[in-house]
Amino acid sequence: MKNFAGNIHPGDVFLTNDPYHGGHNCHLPDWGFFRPIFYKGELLFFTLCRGHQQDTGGSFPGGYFPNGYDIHAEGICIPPIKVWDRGRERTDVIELILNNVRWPDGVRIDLNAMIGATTMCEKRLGALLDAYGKDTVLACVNEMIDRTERAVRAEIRKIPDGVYTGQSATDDDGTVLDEQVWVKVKITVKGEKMTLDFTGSDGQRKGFVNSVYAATYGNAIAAAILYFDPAIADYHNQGTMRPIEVVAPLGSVVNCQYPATTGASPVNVGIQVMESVCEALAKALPERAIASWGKHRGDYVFAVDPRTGERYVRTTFDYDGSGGAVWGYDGYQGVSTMTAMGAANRGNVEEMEIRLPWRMTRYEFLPDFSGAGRWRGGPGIHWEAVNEGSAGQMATGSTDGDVVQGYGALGGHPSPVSRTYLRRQGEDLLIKPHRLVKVEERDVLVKHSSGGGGVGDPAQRDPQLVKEDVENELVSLETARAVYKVALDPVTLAIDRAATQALRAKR
Amino acid sequence: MARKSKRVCVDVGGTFTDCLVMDENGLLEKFKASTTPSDPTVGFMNAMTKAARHYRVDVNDFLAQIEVLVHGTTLATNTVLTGRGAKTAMLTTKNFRDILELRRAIKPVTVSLYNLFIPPNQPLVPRARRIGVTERTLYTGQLDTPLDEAETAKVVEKFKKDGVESIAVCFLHSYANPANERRAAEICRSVAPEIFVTTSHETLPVWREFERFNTTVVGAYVGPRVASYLTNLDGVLKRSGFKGTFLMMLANGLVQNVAECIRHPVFLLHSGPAAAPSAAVYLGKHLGEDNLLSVDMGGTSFDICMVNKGEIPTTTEHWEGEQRVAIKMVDITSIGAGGGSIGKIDTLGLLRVGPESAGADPGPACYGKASHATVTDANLVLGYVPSDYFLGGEMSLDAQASRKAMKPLADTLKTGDVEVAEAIFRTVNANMADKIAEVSTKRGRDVRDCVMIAGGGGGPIHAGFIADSLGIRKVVVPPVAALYSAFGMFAMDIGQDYARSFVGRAGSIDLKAINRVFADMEAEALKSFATHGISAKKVTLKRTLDMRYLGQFHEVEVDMASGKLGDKQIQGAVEAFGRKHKELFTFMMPGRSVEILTLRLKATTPKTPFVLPAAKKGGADARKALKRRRPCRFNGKTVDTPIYDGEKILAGNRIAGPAIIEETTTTVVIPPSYVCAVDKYKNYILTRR
Amino acid sequence: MRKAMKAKAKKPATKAKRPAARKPIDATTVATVWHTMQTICKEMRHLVDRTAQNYLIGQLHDRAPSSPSRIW
Repeated sequence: MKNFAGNIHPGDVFLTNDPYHGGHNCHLPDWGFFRPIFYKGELLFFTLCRGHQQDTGGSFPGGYFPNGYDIHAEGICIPPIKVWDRGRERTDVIELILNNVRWPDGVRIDLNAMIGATTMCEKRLGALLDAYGKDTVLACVNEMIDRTERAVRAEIRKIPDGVYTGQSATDDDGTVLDEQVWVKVKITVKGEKMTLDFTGSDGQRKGFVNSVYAATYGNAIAAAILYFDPAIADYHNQGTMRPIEVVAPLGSVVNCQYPATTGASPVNVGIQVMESVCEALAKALPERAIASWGKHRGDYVFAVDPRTGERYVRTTFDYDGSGGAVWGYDGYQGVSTMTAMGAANRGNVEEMEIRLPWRMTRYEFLPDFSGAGRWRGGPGIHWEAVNEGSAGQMATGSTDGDVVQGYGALGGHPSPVSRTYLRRQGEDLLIKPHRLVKVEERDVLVKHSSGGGGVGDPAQRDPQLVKEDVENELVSLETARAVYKVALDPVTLAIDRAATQALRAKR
Repeated sequence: MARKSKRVCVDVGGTFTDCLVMDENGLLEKFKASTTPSDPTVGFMNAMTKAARHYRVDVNDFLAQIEVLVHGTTLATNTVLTGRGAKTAMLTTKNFRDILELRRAIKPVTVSLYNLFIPPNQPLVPRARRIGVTERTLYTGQLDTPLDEAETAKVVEKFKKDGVESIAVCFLHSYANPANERRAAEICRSVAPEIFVTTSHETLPVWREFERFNTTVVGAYVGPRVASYLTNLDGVLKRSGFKGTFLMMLANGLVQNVAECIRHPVFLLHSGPAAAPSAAVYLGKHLGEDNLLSVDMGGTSFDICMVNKGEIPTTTEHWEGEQRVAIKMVDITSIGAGGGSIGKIDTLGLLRVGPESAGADPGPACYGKASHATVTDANLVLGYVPSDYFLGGEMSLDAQASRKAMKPLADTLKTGDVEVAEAIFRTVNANMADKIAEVSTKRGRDVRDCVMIAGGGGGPIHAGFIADSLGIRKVVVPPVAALYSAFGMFAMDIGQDYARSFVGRAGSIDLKAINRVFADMEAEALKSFATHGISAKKVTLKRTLDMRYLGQFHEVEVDMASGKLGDKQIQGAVEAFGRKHKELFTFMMPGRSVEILTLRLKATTPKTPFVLPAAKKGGADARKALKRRRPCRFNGKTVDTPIYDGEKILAGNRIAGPAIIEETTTTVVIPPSYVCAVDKYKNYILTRR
Repeated sequence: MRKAMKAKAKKPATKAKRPAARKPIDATTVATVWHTMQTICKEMRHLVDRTAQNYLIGQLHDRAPSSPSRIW
């Protein structure tokens, strides 16, 4: 924003999507609209509305192309620019941008939606400032930040001083195939300060898994916050960040430099940043242990809908598995990817079938497909649909977890590896993550997406809960016996107490 | 033989059963009895007995005098919230049995993203009782795979063996073609006639399966209890001499007969609270105001409804606790702010009030059973609520206990008990004001253009202060404020809502098909009225469309012309859609393709209107009603405040704030910035100076 | 893909502008102003959810201010 010093006015709206050049964005599809909010002629606030666009230009629709030469191949790079100037849209600038994306009409609606939200915020903040006055409102903001900082410092003090390590890998970087990319963290807790040091993580990659520092910073702190008292979960703000330092070496996969590609990094490497921090902190605070969530399974399909003759891209999180277990609770059902933290929702089958030329043939939990534990991961999912449209392309761009399993905590099992198949004329073709493949007419896309990891030894799980899981066909009789060490009558499913005791004593 | 001349509304709440009787002259009498949760019919009849005693007749004779009886009940809502519904099973499309449990991955909306320490979602039907059968319908309505009847019968046998009480039949795309669902329901009824059966196409024949299935399952879950309660109550009333019309109050703001309610039990959610906006609209008509903000503050919650041009808004986005219910409901926004809301210090050292509530039992500290510092305690410490005239003196309040409850908070905040009471009062008012601002912003309205109508036990105490902070100039407290919902039931129309999915782009709509679907719905509505002896002439049919810009995920409901539809009418709706989109969301996009998703119909017939009688008239001077003075806190200062006796207030009286009016069932607090005028119906009209 | 901390919609424009000696502010006012700001964020995401056409924003809530249950 430095470039705009002295040139920021009421009615301006700024847009940026650039990870570099002052944008600090995680990847190009996320477009952020900033509006300066003035009160009585004085700039007091900025408001931001940011969202993932349907398309951002570049080599492949949807922004998840695994083989981009550099960031420019991933789409249009918009440094912070003005798209509205003093209450008037800079239509020529917007036209330039829309001319560089697919589905400009749709993107146009979304721009209006996001700018509309900032307009509404300006109006409502004005009313708040009218009611309380500038000084009081600003004092309250500062006070809240200070109070949050104090509470977070108190939380850090509760973590035993020491050094805790965690690590996690993504299957590959999409360009150099079948070579895992590692994120490693060393967390140092001393008094009321915490340092998350990612030194030792792999260097920045040719493929699109590179995370800019701002993205690493956000994900790392978000993961740490999960270990603080849930009672302050409603409050986090700038104050949260003050006692936490995030170190990421320049030129590493967690602090990449221009012109590294970043397309998949919010998922592949973003998730690894969160997983490594969560894994490390589970060692420090076992009674807040959090297991890995199911990995993201994002495939983008690009083809033509014969009903309208129009091109479409399918961008869905519906394939994903479920959340990981936490100390005290089984994993939450169906929530997708750790970096979304449960914000992303699933669509409806009926909506999907009306919008797109795919017919769902199965969408159900998959038994024995999450990490076992005293608290088990949320269930894995079987997603299956037939392509009733034209042949097209599929990018398994942000998919992960076919090789590397999500971790379990405190003896809980990791989440199993996931699989993607294309069933073509009765034959199942295995499709790896980060690939670009052809989809034929009548192909059946099958996704086996694992659930979350477990927390604690499965043999300590309450036998009653194991019985219920078997009744609900989430856990098989065999797994109940072999993993959970619970013997059930195969017909009535009654718990055989004596046999269970014997199984559990044997270990 | 007594003449049928009385109208009666009975609202069975969690604590009290409110009964409002209107006699042939329009005079209102209020009666309250305790609710009897194990069998609410007992409390219902106790209220009837109290009323009969007042009119000096035997209860059977009193019942015989009733022309119309409207009943609201929290039974369905409580059944969901307490998890005490029927043992329910779900018969669904094979390979899709987990739609209900996945629930589109929506985590509880009140929990922060940064709190992972919450139990997993508990659907009303566990996985073991959700069974898929071979069948499939496509979105076009084409029957891809007919129902496997033998397999279905086998599943129903299993449900029967497992002691299932209620079955929800939920198949994909059944809104487009209900044949498979219909056949499955028949099989359920023939294999297990004792089991309650509901289908998704009858409950909500609209696309989006999670919302439709969950709504259907909620209906199945409450259905058996609702059916047995209503059947029993209907029988008791008839045996006791009742010969009038018995109507139930529904979630959509209409009333309906018992047989229809048993077919659609989910519509009984919010039966009761959904009537409050009707009270506001009725009062608004008397006052010549139609932009209204209806607020209703009870013991645990504060309900808001914004009425624009006399029209009660509806929503299809409701969550009842953790259950998504997608039927059209009166759009009441609720927050946990009531007399029982508890004040506590959070981890950041800030005061929070609610959403936890001490309810009616144990209740606020001043009830003497517990030591929570609640909003009612604050009101008592501040002098707003009398300790000796609560419920007209039926119950005395312990002000000492209230002060004691403030003490721990005062110690933490390093201040005094009165200051804590003020802080609780300010905080709960600010929470309510914020929620009102949120509701009005969502509706694209300026709240300052509204007249606030305040009901419930707490509404008349807090309304003036909330209005002041929002810049609302006029607040109306009706004499029936404490029985606000029951009063609203008098004013409601009889009817039902209908909806059908109909997906198409506005520019290329199949006119023949849209006309046919509306005609079908209208025929269904008229047939339903005809079976209750109401002729088509008396029925008002109102059409609406759910529309959106091509590709959006949410729709806006727009009015549609009646009669035969052509291109002109469709174009009119498209333009109306654009205007409404701008009003709600700050922008519109002329020229952009518009989709139609759902056709809706509201079929109503008005009940016979009623008029309120005028109150006794007096001059502006209210001195004769002055009862006493007591110190109250206003804006951080103690003020010797005049207290008026509501029973002695006359139409035409004017009272300047700060002042308090005490009625038997309600206390009105007039803040210093407002003046209260009493109108001819004895409404208290507070106007900002 | 949304980054968690982006959910924060507002921040003070300049830290340097903070008055040297800050007037102490009462806890009730802090709580009520904060509550209003949280409410505004909720309204912003509601508006975007209602009007967006792309799956990632409208359904998946891959956007800030964050989603139905969000940071606040």
